[in-house]
Amino acid sequence: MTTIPNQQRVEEFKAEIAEMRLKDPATARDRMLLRAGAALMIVGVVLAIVAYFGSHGTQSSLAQRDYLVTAVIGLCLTVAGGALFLRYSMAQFLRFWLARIAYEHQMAADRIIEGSHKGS
Amino acid sequence: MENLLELRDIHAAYDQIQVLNGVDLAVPAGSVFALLGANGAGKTTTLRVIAGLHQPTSGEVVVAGRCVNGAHPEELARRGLCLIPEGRGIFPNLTVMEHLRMAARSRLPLAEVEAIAFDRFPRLAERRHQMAGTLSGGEQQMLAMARGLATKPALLLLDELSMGLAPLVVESLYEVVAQIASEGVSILVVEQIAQTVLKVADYAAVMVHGKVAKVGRPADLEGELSAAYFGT
Repeated sequence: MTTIPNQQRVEEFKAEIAEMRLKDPATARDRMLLRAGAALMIVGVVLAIVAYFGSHGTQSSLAQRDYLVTAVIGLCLTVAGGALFLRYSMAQFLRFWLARIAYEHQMAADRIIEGSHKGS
Repeated sequence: MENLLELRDIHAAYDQIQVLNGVDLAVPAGSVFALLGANGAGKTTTLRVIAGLHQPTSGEVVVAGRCVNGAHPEELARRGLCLIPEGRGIFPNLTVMEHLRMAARSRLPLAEVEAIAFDRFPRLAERRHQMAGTLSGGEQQMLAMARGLATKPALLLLDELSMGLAPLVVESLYEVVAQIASEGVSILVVEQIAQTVLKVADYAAVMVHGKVAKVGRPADLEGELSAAYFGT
């Protein structure tokens, strides 16, 4: 094997790559959960609307209670779907946003320190 | 020489559009590998797949002997796989120093990052307090490279280094690329314009329609290039 300069860095790189924890490469799962989240939100809202009109169209209190339960289930589905959707669509964006905020905070802190050195 | 990067039968698509159709590639450690091809051949997508920015539909990306399919791009970058994207990816409203300060958060202290950047690119030292958006194209590319080097990369991916730059500037940038490679960093560089990169490359490959059509030493590929670009 030919020896290359900076072999130490290459060995370090290999060791770090070997230690890296990898997520399941089945990325289709992320996409599937994103779509499932969107679908659940839609289904939930539709259920709630159907339940509203259903309860509105009957005078039977028993049937109205059933519709009420259906509407609550619909709301739960919407909340769960919303959480899934947010998790798989916004995570990446929020990560960059957080990095930006962290950087700006650091800059502000550096400016304050610099100012205090000038003042003293 | 062992390979630091291997692509094995990589397929990738943007929704229904198939872009890579079984890319096979091996970059030996410490070498400069030029990936050439006409516009739309799939070169940039290949780099994005390696950097973890785009998931392949099938195939394996093997970095330092390990299949890294599904790895987060930031995880790979933190460990020394650095992509300098087409268009340079700099922040126009941050100064040169601010860019270096951001880069210094990864691996090296700021003083060392400054030394790396300003020793290689003395022009950046003169422009240290200038907004990146007001730098010339060549200076912006220098800044992007300096920022990449600050991560102490083991594997550097360069996308269209020469894009929009004067030939003299491109030549000087490739001199720096050769220097970096001589220090043991493996470099995969994607280019449309082959002339300059082939002077510094140890190996080269020509991509056509999402596949590697030919791999070899730069001198062996001259005939393939006209076929790849003009279909002759």
